[in-house]
Order: sequence, then structure tokens, then C-alpha cells
Amino acid sequence: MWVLIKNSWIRDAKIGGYQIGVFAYRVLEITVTLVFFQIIFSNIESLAGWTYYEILFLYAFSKIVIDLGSTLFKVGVRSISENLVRTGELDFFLLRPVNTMFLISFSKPRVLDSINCIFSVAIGYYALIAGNIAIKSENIIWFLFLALFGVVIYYFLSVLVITPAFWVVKLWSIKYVMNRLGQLMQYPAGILPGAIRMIFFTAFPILAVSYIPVRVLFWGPKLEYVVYMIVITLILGIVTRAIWKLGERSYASASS
Amino acid sequence: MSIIKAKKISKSFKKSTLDWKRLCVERKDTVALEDISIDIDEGELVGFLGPNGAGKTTFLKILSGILYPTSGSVEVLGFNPWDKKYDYLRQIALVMGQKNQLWWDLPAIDSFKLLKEVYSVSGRNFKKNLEMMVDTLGMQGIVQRRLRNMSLGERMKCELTASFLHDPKVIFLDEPTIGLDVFSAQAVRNLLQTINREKKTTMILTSHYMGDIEELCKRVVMINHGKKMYDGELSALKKQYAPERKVEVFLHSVKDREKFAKLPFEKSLEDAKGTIRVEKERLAVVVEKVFESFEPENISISDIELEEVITKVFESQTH
Repeated sequence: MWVLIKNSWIRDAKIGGYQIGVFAYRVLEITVTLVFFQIIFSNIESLAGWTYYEILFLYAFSKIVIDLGSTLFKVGVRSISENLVRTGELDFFLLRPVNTMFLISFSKPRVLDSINCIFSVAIGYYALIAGNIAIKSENIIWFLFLALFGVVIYYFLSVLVITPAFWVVKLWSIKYVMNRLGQLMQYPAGILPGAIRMIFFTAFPILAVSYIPVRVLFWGPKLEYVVYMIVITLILGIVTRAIWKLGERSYASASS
Repeated sequence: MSIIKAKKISKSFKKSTLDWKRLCVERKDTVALEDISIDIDEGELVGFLGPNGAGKTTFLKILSGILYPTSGSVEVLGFNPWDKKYDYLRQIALVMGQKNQLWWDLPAIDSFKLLKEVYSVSGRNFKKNLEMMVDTLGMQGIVQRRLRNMSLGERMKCELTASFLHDPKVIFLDEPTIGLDVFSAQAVRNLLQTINREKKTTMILTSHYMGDIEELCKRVVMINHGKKMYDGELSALKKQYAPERKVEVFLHSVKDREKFAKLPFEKSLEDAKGTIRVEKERLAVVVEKVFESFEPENISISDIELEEVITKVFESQTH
């Protein structure tokens, strides 16, 4: 792990301007989102039963998950569609006696991206204080437990989205799909129509990542939420692994 | 005992393209390998020969488990390579002369340390193997440098080191000396010979440099257009396709050239070099006559170059 982090540090240190750009983008994004939320909540009391501060916390938590993803596996997962399949560099990963999917995913951590979490944590903290949201300590434990599953679901979805690159080699734009779908995590599930909500809780369970843990944090655990999170994580893990294996079978490498 | 058994391996690559005029998907199959069967014993060092696009690399990738064949079966070390069992992957290695497996921005030693963990190599074996590679390849001071600051030859030595750290029983080498200068290429050949001899490592080598094949491989397999054309001893191949010897005479003066033109053998003259091709049975007669006519320091006798033998084989199979 130390070697991976060292590699990340050496790589990122060379492009200091990149990190400044990321910070600037994050500040701008937060500002625009807050203004957007302010405009919405100046006209309504609540959105799908959630107050301004509850939604703000949901937004902050979804950003923490995304930042964790960026820190740990985003670059690695993206490399599958960006270059590994197209150039044949995947060859060497396939020869290692470890899980190829995990090896690729976690081979390029971006340590500096973890700093972005500071913004999200600050917003979440502000939302809890300013919104006077009282939370039971029991709920915090359940929240952390389910948040862990949320991060795992987010990881599997990130991999799943990129797997078509095994079949369609020049599929660079696919890496942006997760960015767009990830935006769904920052709103309460109730704002979506029933059928679409069902899709994003089952077929592509992006809503489970943040909505369920935060809901449990505010309103307490329910057995069905816990069972749902465990089952959906297992199913998603099995499906992702199976599609990955199919992708490996179709992999044509590249000429020497 | 055969540790690599490939039976009727075929591989075709499918490509689908959208025909906008006819609004349909066109599928095109490219055959890379056709019914290749081969058995390789433990400790053998086999050379794979063939022109670009012949299917050599594809075959190596199938044996290593990277690619799935369209049909046929393979057993390496008792494993089906495509099952990608960790026990299998720990016993093989693939070196590709044109691709890097090491991290570009890190010192080579850091990549080696990561591979040590990935392959669960003990600290003692890691140290022993690394020291052996550093000594044999003359890499003192190189492994601490970042890959991007190395020359091509240094990088290739590091790639080889990375592939041998876990003591593989079978190693697939795809053009390991490509782009290397003569000294580096010789160092690599020496290393392969040493490891093959001392550790009984089974090796399959593809190379466009005939020097590699001649120096390292007793047995060669020739592939062209995905089909196996020859599988046997290199010496037998030479005997079959180039039984003659080449007598070359360096002709420094017009007088020498005139003398050479009068020799009663089939011959050719290019620039200042005269060449006589002669069957081994008649070699003594020709040599006697040539030594009578020219200074000994201007005469050389050699086998036909392997490149020429290979060309002859391909031509004979094509016609």
C-alpha cells in the first residue's frame, strides 16, 4: 500500500496546478449548489419531506463518498476505459495472482483528493448545527455501518459502468457516466417518480449509497433498510464480478 | 515430461462495424491462429519464429491465460491457463519487449517491492533473486533510479528482473532484446541461458533477432499466417533447407576479381566480396582451390545465415 501511496504522491506532486484547479472547482460547485438550494427552499418548506438542512447534509455526505472514491479508486477504474484495454496494458494486470479488478481499481490512489473531503465534512457539520438536527448515538453507529455498504455499492457501480470498455474499446466518454449518475445521490429519493426510483434502488442502486444511511441517521434504523443494504451489496458484487469476468473473456489485448 | 500441452489451438478476433448505408452491423473475423498443437518439456528453451502478424504473440498470450482461444485446449503446469488460478499465475511470467509492467515514475526497486508482495515472495528469496539479477545483468546503481530516467536497455533489464523475482517455472519472452544494443542484448541472452540451465526454467522465446534464436534455442517452431510450419531442431531445419556452406572471398584488386570470375564454381560477386555456395560434400574441393588462388586472411567459410534459412522455409511453404 505504501508503494501505491508513494507513486500517487510523486505523480500528483508534479502537477500541483491540478490540485489548485480541483479546489477552485470544488468551491465553485459548492457555492452554486448552495445558491441553487437557497432558491428552491425560498419557495418551499420541504422537498419530499426533507428540510433544507437535511438535504444539505445529504449533499455533503454524497460528496464525501465521491471524494473517497476519487481518493481510492476513481483513477484506477477509469484507466480501464482510458488506456488499459485499448493499449493492451491490461495484460500485466491479468497475470498477477491477485484479484485483477481490485488490483486495477486501487493501483492509482489519488491521495491529495482526500483533502477535498474537508469541504464536505464542514458543510455536513454546518447542516447538523444550523439545522438543529438532533441525532441519537445509536443512529450514528447504524449510519456508519450502512455508510460502509454505501461506499462499497458506489465502488461496484463505478466498476460496472466502465465494463462496456471491454467490448467497445474506444469508449473514453463512459468515465463521465458515473459523474452524472452520482448527482442523484445528493437528493432525497422521494423527488423521483416511482418507476425511476425503483430502477435506482434495484437495477442500478445509486440511491442506496447515500439516501439510506442518511435516512437512518435522521430517523433511526429499520430492519428492512439493513437487510436491503446487505443484500443489494452482495448481489451487486456478484453481478459486477460476473460481468468483469465476461469482459476478461472478450478482451482482445493489443498487438505487440 | 511435457509441462506445456497445446492441442489444436485456434483464435480468431471478431470485429463489428456499423454499415450506415445498409443500416446493419458487419462482423469480420480475423484468424490469428489455426489448429496449433505443441508439447514442450520441462527445462526446454523453444524459439518461436515468424514474420510480423504471424500469431506468435497471440499464442504466448493464450498460453499465459491473457487471451481465450476460439477452440482447442491448453495445459500448462497441469493448469488450464484461462482459469487464472493464483497457483498457476505464481509460476509463470511474461516479458514483452515493447511494453512496460513497471511504474514509470517510481524507482525500479519500489516496483520490485510491490511485486514481492503480490507474488508473496519471501524476504530471503527476494534478496537472493534480486542480487543474482543485478550481478548477472550488471545493474548496480540502476534499480534505485526512476524508470523514466533509464535507457531502453536499462528498462529492459529491470523488466526481466521483475519477471524473475518470483522464480517462475515457465516464462514467456516476447522479443526481449528488441531495441537493445549488442552488449545489452548479449547480457540478456546470458541471463536467459543461466536461468534456463541452473533453474530448469522452461522458456518460450519470440524474437526477430536470429542471434537470439541461434544462441539460445535448440528447438524452433515456425508460424506463418497462424499456422505451424515447422517444429523441430534448429540444426535439422538448417540441414533441410540450407545444407550448403558459404565461402566468401574479399577481393581487393581487379586481378583478384578476374581470378575469382574464372573459378569453375557457381558464384556471385557483390562489391568487393565474392560468394560461392557449395554443398558440404564438395566443400573440400572448393576450399582447396580458393586457398590456392587467394590470401587466407581474405577467406571466410560459414553456414548460411538463419534469416536466409527462414526465408527459404517460408518461400517453400508459400509456393
